Amino acid sequence: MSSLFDISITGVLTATIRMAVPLVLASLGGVFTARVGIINLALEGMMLFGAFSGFIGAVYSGSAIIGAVCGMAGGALAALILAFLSITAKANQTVAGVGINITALGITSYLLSTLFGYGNRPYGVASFSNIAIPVLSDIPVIGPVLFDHSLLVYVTYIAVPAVWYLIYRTPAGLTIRATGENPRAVDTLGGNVMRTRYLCTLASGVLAGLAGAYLTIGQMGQFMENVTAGKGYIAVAALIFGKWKPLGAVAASLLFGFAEGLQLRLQIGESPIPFQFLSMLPYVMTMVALLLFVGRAKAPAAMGKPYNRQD
Amino acid sequence: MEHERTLGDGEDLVIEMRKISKQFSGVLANDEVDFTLKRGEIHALLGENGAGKSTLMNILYGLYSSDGGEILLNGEKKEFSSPNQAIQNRIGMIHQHFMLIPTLTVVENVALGLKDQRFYRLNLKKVEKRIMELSELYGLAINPWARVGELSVGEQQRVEILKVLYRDAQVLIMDEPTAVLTPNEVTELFIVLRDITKRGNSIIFISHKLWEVMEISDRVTVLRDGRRIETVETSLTTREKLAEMMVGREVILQYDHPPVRVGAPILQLEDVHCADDKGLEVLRSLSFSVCAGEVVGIAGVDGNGQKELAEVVHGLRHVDFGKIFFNREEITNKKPRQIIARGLAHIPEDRHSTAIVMDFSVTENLTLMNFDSPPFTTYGMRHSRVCTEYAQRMSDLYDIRGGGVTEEIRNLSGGNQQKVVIARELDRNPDLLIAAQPSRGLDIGATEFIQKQLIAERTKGKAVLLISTDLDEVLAVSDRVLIIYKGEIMKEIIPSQASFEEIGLAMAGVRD
Ligand SMILES: Nc1ncnc2c1ncn2[C@@H]1O[C@H](COP(=O)(O)OP(=O)(O)OP(=O)(O)O)[C@@H](O)[C@H]1O
Ligand SMILES: [Mg+2]
Repeated sequence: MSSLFDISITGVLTATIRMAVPLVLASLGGVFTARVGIINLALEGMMLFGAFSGFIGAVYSGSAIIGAVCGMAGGALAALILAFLSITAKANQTVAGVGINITALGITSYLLSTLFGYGNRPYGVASFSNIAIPVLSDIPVIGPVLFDHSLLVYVTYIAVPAVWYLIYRTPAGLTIRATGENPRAVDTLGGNVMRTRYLCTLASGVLAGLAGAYLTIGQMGQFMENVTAGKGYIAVAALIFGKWKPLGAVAASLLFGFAEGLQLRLQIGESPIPFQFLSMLPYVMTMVALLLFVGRAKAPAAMGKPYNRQD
Repeated sequence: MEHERTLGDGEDLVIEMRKISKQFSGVLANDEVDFTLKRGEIHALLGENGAGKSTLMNILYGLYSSDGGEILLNGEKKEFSSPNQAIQNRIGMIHQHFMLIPTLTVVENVALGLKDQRFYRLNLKKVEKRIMELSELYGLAINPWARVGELSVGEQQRVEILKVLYRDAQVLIMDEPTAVLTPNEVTELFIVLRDITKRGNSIIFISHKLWEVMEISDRVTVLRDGRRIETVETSLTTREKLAEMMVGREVILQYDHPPVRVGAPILQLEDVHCADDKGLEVLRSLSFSVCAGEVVGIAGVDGNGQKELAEVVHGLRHVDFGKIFFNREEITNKKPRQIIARGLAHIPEDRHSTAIVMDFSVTENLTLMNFDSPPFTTYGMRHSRVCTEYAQRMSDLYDIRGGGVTEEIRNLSGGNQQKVVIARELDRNPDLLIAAQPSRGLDIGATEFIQKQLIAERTKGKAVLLISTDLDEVLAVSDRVLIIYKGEIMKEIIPSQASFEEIGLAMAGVRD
């Protein structure tokens, strides 16, 4: 087998982690919005904004870290629009999300060409480089797969348990979970539904923005039009597949990341299957996963419903 | 000066609401309402659907802002602009529709929004400990780690009470706490309420059930059309007087049953057995019949097979053994459509999930069963004018009020929603009408209207099967009453010849 497809287990798994990280971050962001009852299709647009602003930040500051911060801010900005439309203006959240995605695609493509023109893209842009963690990275298989990555990957490792802890082990997390099920109950116990929803939407923007920045400055330092290419939607699928739970979303992201990692490796390994088919793999898996599981999972009860105190 | 008057009365007032007004897009829900609550009393707030009871209490709780008036707490003027402030002032409210999160546990529901938690760690053990203390103190048995969605309605209410007690409320507002409870649960609740007031707390008890108000309250304030009609000492009034204040005219609490010739049996059940959703046998060897020209009432504590009884007759539940006849033809395990076609009408127990479509208009709900056939639809074309005219006629006939026939039914009061169901079912001119809990949650006016309709059907020579856990209702409406216990008929009585004790024993499963 290895003679035909040059794919080592380590190679595939390392690619899995790399491919999964943006999905993990974005779907964790999705957990925040879902748990307060907001439909967040805008993950795609938030990621794209984050990817673009992260890239720009790195270009002008020369620092990948500042770039990442700009990425988070860009995602948060997109989130603020979603929050305003769905919480304050009480618009249809699906429409708002898709609108943000289309806007993000248009704005980033336009700014890219006005800022840099064609064929004049900056290169050698500051990006995160791999940091091998001493000792841990020497462990066979696990070492190179998990502990020889860029800073953003390690941040993701920390974000997963942190989000889980916040949601399940703190009073704020209880309020978050309750807001998505019955906002009126939260209101009658003196909680602030609007503030909880705004903050969680912003949190989702920060995480999705970071996921976007990872795509542009996480490894190399480049921005292409529509660089997210539907990854935000895959994150939405991972969120649903993972039953709106942080660990479920992470597991689903890893699965989709694996599909993508495998697909990439197979392409490099000159497999006899045309690469167009291989590229389809993650998307096909997403659809199959949704087909098989979406009916069974139960979304937070107040999903998509704006809250009004007096009715 | 105002302050002095309060003290001068020599009464210990916890709450004083003065000239509270509230307007909702055109509706004056509260019109300069005065209300006082003495320390340690149970003060009933009585009024029909839409009288403004919930609105007044939502203002006190800070959920709604008032358009005018002021609120004094322990003689001091206070602003209540959010529930937070109410909670801080030790006011707790149990809402008409429970404010619980079914997917969370009891402890989590109680812990939600607590101020005594550290922000970085949710300490549920601490909450559990206090819940257990309170549960012991007040006799509110509960499993703190149970998921709320899996609890019975009575238990869910205990969770609501615990939520309020946990926050150390001195004033408990209970908005129709008994609407969803069985008679036994009501009795248990009353014991708890008395216990709460003995400890110096006060309770505002909202209801429109007269006997409850007579039994539990010290004083009663009656609201009608947003205005306060009167506040009276409970011991100095009667059910009849309260009913009259509430409705604004004399109310009949006892109905005439004009004599009719009882005809042939319409519905017959012979030795029927069936299982509930969990597969346990809930109807055991049930046999009885309902004849043309009589109302047969099924009385009993909720959960003794009443729901399943209605379902097997309607063809919605499989009969495992035994036979059911409708007009002498066997209908056992036939499809609902076929049974309905033979002349069955059904007013189901849970109107929201089974009888009406909340997002549809009154017209659409009225024509739900036959919108696709003439005269509403011919050659595949729906004639909306015909539908509207029909709905208008039905609204006049059945006194359906609130917004007109194009209004979404969710905006109607519960009583008017139920009238839509009744109008639709009765207009099909059925031979048999099954009415399950037809007046649950409705005020006296609507209840009276609906009960009169049931008797009118019977007087027209139809058969009526009334299934209700409200004993007053069963006794007032039925010609014969069957008492059901664990899926069997324990006893048959004639309402005018039976004592409450006799019935109570049969309901508890005691055979004589
Ligand atoms: N949020 C709201 N928006 C518009 N109208 C409202 C609102 N809440 C109440 N109303 C109207 O105000 C009036 C009083 O309603 P309220 O809920 O206070 O009555 P209630 O006495 O509690 O009745 P019920 O016994 O049905 O609970 C009704 O006409 C109702 O339609
Ligand atoms: Mg009410």
